[in-house]
Amino acid sequence: MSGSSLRTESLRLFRVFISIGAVLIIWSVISLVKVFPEALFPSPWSVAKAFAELYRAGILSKDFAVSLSRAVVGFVVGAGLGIVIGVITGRVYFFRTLMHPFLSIMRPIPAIALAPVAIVWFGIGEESKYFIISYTVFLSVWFNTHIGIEFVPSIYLKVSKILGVSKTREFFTVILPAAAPHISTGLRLGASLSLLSLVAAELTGASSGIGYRLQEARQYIRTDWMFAQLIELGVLGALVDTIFSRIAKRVVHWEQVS
Amino acid sequence: MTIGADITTAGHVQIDNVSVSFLKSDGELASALLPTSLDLPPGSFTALIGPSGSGKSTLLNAIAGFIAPSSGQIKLDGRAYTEPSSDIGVVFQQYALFPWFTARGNIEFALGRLSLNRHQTREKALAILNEIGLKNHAETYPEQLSGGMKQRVAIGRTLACEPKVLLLDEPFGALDAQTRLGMHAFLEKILDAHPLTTLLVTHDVDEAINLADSVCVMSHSPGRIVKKYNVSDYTDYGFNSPDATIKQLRAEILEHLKLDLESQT
Repeated sequence: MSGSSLRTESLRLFRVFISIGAVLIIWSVISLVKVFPEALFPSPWSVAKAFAELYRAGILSKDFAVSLSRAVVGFVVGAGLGIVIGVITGRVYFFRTLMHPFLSIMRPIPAIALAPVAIVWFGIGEESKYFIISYTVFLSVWFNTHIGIEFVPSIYLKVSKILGVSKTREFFTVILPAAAPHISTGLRLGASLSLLSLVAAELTGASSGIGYRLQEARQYIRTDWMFAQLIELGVLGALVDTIFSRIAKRVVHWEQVS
Repeated sequence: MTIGADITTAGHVQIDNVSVSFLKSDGELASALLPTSLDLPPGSFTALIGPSGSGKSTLLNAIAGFIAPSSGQIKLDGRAYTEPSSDIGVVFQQYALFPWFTARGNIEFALGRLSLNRHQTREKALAILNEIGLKNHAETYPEQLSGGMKQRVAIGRTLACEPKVLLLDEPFGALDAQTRLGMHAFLEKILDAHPLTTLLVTHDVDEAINLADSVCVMSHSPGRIVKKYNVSDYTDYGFNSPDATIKQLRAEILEHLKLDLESQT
């Protein structure tokens, strides 16, 4: 890493710490002056204790692993289908007109609304969770892939035609790279949405995972556990987003991905 | 190694009464180009000049095969065509380089249709980059190149396909005046080595006169070619000063464009 990029990275980390520090200070002040009852709004140290308690009991790591594996499976299935269907609807007019109304109706349906159907179809096992997560990821990846493929700049296709490139070569060397920034955005959004739908899936009919633990904490009125689980979910989300952002910067290097 | 086709006898473009119309959103038929005829002999350099909307780019797109003529026909070496082909190379104002490829990758992309192995493709791409003066930028991505460099790569990529005809759609329109002059010299050098039939669409009268053998002036929308000037008629003007005659040609073209504009308003 060069001197200037090391400085930029250090500055970025410094800003992150300042931001987290400021939130912790405000949170502590609110807790100390008892604006809200402790049972409803736990202090940072209560949440830290809850973290330690959940960690010692092995709950934190178990929930993290279970939720992450569900999100990964759901993401892989949804993203795979989204890319394939997106390419087909983006490229083939017949399939576009055939599937577009159906997919447009599906898009506004939230993942949580699918939970009852998923349980009836697949039971309360892992399959229903995979279904809910992959459905959400699919819609995001399909939509972005479709847009990317359909709206490849016409000048690229003109160049490809004039240079006498075959259709197959045009697809792999022009259309897919031109659509890659959109596909990458779809995947990144899909990854974030997989965590959102994960909680929706785990809130209904699960016996482990971050969503399930949130539900359990609500039953025992343990807001400190809830906060600990929410922070765990947030960290997981930020981690996933950072990984995707870094991969996108390398793969789609000609696009500025923030 | 040199680039482009060396066959000066090939590349004869004949545009015979070609018109282009399109359907507007209200269902009416609009004319973008009135019946136009033009002959581009092998190795000639013709410039098309005219106001915006005069159909210059429409005519170029029809010659490229991107637009099918509504009437008339376009022939290359005696054969009518309506589809793009690698015999006709096009250079666009917006460069149209693929940002995911390096300068070498962009040229190798064009070489893909030739039956070359990977090593030969690489060698030929590097030879082309050498000829366009960008060998040291072979591994540079387009976003890291200047406008002039990008256009050199675009020209190199087009010529890598060994076309018979070169169509230039306002290729220097996005460049500053100094770079533009450099690009004129570059294009002249390339065309000296490879005398392709060339058609240049431009807004710049000086550019048209400096580069082309003949300048065709188009009328305003819907356009057609209303006047053709042979630049050599003005430069080979016996004992008269060439500068004075070029000035005369420039004044005549500008007067033509001015009169056209006045008749429009």
